[in-house]
Amino acid sequence: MHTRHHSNRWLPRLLLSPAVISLFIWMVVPLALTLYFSSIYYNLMQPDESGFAGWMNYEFFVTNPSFFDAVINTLVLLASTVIITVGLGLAIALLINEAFPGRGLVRLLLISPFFVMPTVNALLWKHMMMNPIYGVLAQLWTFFGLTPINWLQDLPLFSIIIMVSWQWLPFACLILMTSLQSMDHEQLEAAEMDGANALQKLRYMYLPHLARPISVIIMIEVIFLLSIFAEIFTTTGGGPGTDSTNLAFLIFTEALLNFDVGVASAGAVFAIILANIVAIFLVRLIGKNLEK
Amino acid sequence: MSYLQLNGVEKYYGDFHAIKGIDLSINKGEFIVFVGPSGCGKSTLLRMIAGLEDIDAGELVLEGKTITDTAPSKRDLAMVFQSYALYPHMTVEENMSFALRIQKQDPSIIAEKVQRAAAKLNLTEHLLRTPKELSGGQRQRVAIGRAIVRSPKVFLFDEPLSNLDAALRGQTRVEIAHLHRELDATSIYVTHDQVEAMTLADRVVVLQAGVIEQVGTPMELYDTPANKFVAQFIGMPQMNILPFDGAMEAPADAAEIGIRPEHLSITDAQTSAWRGEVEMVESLGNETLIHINLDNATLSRIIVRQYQRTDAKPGAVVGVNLHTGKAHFFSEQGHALR
Ligand SMILES: Nc1ncnc2c1ncn2[C@@H]1O[C@H](COP(=O)(O)OP(=O)(O)OP(=O)(O)O)[C@@H](O)[C@H]1O
Ligand SMILES: [Mg+2]
Repeated sequence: MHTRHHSNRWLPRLLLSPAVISLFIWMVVPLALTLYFSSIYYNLMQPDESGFAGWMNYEFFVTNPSFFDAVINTLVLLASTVIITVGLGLAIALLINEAFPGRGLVRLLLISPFFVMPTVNALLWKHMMMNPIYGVLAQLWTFFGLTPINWLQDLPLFSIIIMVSWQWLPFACLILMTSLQSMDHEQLEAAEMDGANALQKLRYMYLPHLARPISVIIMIEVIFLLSIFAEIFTTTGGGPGTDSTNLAFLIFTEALLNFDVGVASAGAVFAIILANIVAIFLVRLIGKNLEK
Repeated sequence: MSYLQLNGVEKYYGDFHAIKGIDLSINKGEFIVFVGPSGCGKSTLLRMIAGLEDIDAGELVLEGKTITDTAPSKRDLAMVFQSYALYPHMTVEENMSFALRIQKQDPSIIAEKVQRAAAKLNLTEHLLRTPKELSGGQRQRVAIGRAIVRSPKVFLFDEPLSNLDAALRGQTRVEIAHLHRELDATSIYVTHDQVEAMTLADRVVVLQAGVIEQVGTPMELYDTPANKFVAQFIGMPQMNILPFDGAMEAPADAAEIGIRPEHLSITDAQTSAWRGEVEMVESLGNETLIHINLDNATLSRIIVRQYQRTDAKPGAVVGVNLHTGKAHFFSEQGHALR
């Protein structure tokens, strides 16, 4: 029995191999190239300089005064957006969970920002909402007699956080909305008879029920938000100074503004390491939840 | 002095009049069972008492206090739901202690109450499990335990046994009866199962389409049904209803005659009151049900129950006699006549 089981194993493996091999190549080739480039002198502006660089590229990238800022900005952007989208998403999902006239339309409107392309989203916010002269927010501020804020100049990272949160809120909302639909109604009634108030119901009924979807939201958002680029490129350009530069944008600066492929590759390796650190944290934090 | 009093309680769902004025008074320690066909409003009425549905008209009085508009948690009632509605992410212990923890009671008192309830319900070994690690019957007992721990004024049950298999249902029914006696608690129990109604109830409330058809002890309902609906609803197989042909002494206005299957017996075709052809014989071991097509004017079909076995085969012609004094008579409108 045992041996037959084993001998039958090679066929499924063989059939799986094209997919596995192509995925493997897909992952390994860029990774190997990145590692390779990060270890040589490779600046498009200085073609004469070449050869093995050792840790020079890494050292250069890390000692770049922007590096530390970029790491912090990346983490701040990530954490704020996740907190805002999950928090607001939960509030909105709970709010529209009760039936009311026009609920379908409200849901549709809530979800629509997710279908706006990141670049378009950023441009809309930049010109329509946050422009200090004719932007909607400036008009609002003026209406109340306040001095309009020059969002992208004075609060660059916060502005980016707003844009990205606006884009990702629908995603969180959508997932939480659907999960709330599967909440057992009798359970809530039982809790009500047991004397739980709204806050206690949230704490003891809704949050445990939503733990899994919230984990999924955090996972997916982290994957996408670690490498946010378009919003920064089209609005602040990473500035002023490095105030809104994240790792992805710093790598871009090195590769395509300074034309230093070697240093950019070293940056990419750092980004991979950072992503893995965050991922380990997340898996620790959330993995248990998903197993339940 | 009644403990829980319903005065003209009504419920509307939009235009639909679901509960049409219910008056009922329940004594302390009584076990009341609501029965009725599906959709008659049993659950709705129970949920109105619980406070989970608004009462549109009438009032609800508990221990002399009007609680018509009181929040569910302030009414001091506990409900056992059909789906049990256990909190899935909490252990049995946490499930049972939830209400007390919310009330911020002393942890040592909570622990003691939970222990006592768990012991009563045979759940002591399972206190640290979550609901999904329990069998259906155990879950059901946790749901009851959650109610017991609160020592409420009234227990409300909405078809608590309908998710159990037949054997477990019988066993749990006995346990509930036992618990009720032990706790001496006032209980309202919704079911569509007659056996549950008859065995558990001190008094049964028969509902139909949002009105009470009759309230009485199980035997009152069986022996003296107030109308044709109750007569047919209580008793399995149903009471035989035949058009009344004036062949015997009966109250004036009698339009129909009702006879329970066990009040009929098979006799010789020559000397009997009625005659008919056997259509089917159901032998259940302890009893035998004989379906007969009468060859009277209306060709009625009746069922005879007897506790001896029979040789009668389908197609045989037999006579049917009815036991004197056991017939029920109903008027044109279905009211019982005596
Ligand atoms: N939320 C609601 N909205 C509209 N109508 C409802 C609602 N809940 C119940 N009803 C109606 O009220 C009537 C009584 O329902 P209820 O649930 O009390 O029946 P029931 O006697 O418990 O039946 P069952 O034995 O099938 O559980 C039904 O006709 C049902 O369609
Ligand atoms: Mg019901």
